[in-house]
Amino acid sequence: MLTLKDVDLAYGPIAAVRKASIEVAAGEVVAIVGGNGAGKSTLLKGIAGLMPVGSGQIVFDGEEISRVAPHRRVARGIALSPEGRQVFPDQTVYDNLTLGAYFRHLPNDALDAEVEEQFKLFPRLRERRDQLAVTLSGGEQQMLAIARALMGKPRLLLLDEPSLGLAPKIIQEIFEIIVSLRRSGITILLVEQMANMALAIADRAYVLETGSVTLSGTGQQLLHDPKVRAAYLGGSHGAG
Amino acid sequence: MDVYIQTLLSGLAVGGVYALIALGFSITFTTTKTLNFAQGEFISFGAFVGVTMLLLLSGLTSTVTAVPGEAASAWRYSAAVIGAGVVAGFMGILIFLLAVRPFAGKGGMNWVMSTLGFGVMLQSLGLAVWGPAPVMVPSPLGDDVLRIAGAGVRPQELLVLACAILIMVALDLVMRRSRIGKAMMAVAHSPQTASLMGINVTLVMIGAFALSSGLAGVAGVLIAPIASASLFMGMGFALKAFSGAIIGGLSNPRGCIYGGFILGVLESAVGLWQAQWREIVVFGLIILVLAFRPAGLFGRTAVDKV
Repeated sequence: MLTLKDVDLAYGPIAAVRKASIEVAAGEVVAIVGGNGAGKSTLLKGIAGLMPVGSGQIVFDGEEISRVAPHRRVARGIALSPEGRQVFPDQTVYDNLTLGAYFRHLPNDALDAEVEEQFKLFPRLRERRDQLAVTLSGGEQQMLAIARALMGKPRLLLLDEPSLGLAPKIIQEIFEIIVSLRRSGITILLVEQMANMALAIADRAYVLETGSVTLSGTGQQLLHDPKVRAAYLGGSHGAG
Repeated sequence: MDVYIQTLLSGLAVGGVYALIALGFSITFTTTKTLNFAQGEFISFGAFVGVTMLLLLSGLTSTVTAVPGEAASAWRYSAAVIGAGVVAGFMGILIFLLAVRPFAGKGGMNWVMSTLGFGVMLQSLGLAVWGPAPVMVPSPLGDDVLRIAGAGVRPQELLVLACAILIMVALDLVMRRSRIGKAMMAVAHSPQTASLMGINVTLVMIGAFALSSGLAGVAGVLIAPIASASLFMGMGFALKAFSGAIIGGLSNPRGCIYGGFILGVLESAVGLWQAQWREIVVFGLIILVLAFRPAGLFGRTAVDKV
């Protein structure tokens, strides 16, 4: 479904991702793990179109999309739940959700039906429907960011650090939702510093170190790889 | 007493014009983080587009120093207001594409110079077409002074006030209720995140410049019967409107509207006392406000939960 071939991404003169090659097949959950500053988020930004691709190719559904504008990539079925949530703080939960479906130009009743679907998946958001997003807790904002991305009916969902800054109980809740999303057939590319949790639910995974892919394998292989354990898992509660 | 009502009403009328233009500043600032420093020339340009339309629609030649009263019938004047808004809006798209977009979001202040330069070019173009002489423009409601609670009010002042309020209430509703308004708010918060919603950010920014410039054009035709149309009139209005926007808080569209009205009334009130002290007192107060409230009276300081 998604293929990255030797993709370079840079912030001006500073290279953030070098010659990254990644493959995501339809229906898979693929995790990208790695330390702080390894280029994980940059990679997702590159796929979503927020960063220009220096060289290399991004192919989605057989079509080269490296030069496609971000809003058109969303329309093709790639949604990003960005790092740090990035909900619209001055708009309500409901408005944030409807913005996720902005490009689909749905009539109001269809839009409400889809918002209702998200409320089924994230019941806490229903209670907060008319509150401004800024008043939500960190965990609720994360749920809103994921729900908002889902409102675009993506075929590929990019999740950037969904556990960032959240309490363990909330992280557990969010990972359960990711697992249930996978059962519904959506393809997921997940970037996480919580390597153990990400690898536990991933079909396959890549390890990113200072901008380059250094290891890849199934989630279970990497979870038991001594190098990965030493570098990113560091015991039972791994964090980067 | 009458004189106070009169001062208040004419202050509100001019304030309404400031508010329209201040709202325009706010619209481009929130969505693109840039300002159109040619806004003043857009006001003048709009006024002359309006004058030209009034004359053409009445079958008159366009080389006059005063538009005859009968040319400003209600429908012709309405057409002139709309026409000036559309033409100025179109110029707004041009200024965005030619003078703002190449520099926006890249850091640096090149867009300040390029929009100022665009304004100078627009003024020169205007001088070539219409010449430097001011043109008297009649009000569609006539020039007979109305009596309201004993105070003498020019009908055009009421018309300006009514139009300004109508336009701003309509825009406020669109911004807060419609999908496009919410998309504009999203772009204002973060163009990147907005693009993740499938919003065509460039198109929203083009729309913001068209709307902002259109408002300046409309303001030009509205104020022309009070100030008379001149290619040099815009700068003063734009400066006052900008001050109003700063007082109200540039990032808050409603605040900018209030700021425009406050400035208009203040100016009018000081003028009642000592006309020659008007500018000194007004700008002194602006500096004072900013010293104590750097984000403006209604400016919001960003609060983000981490």
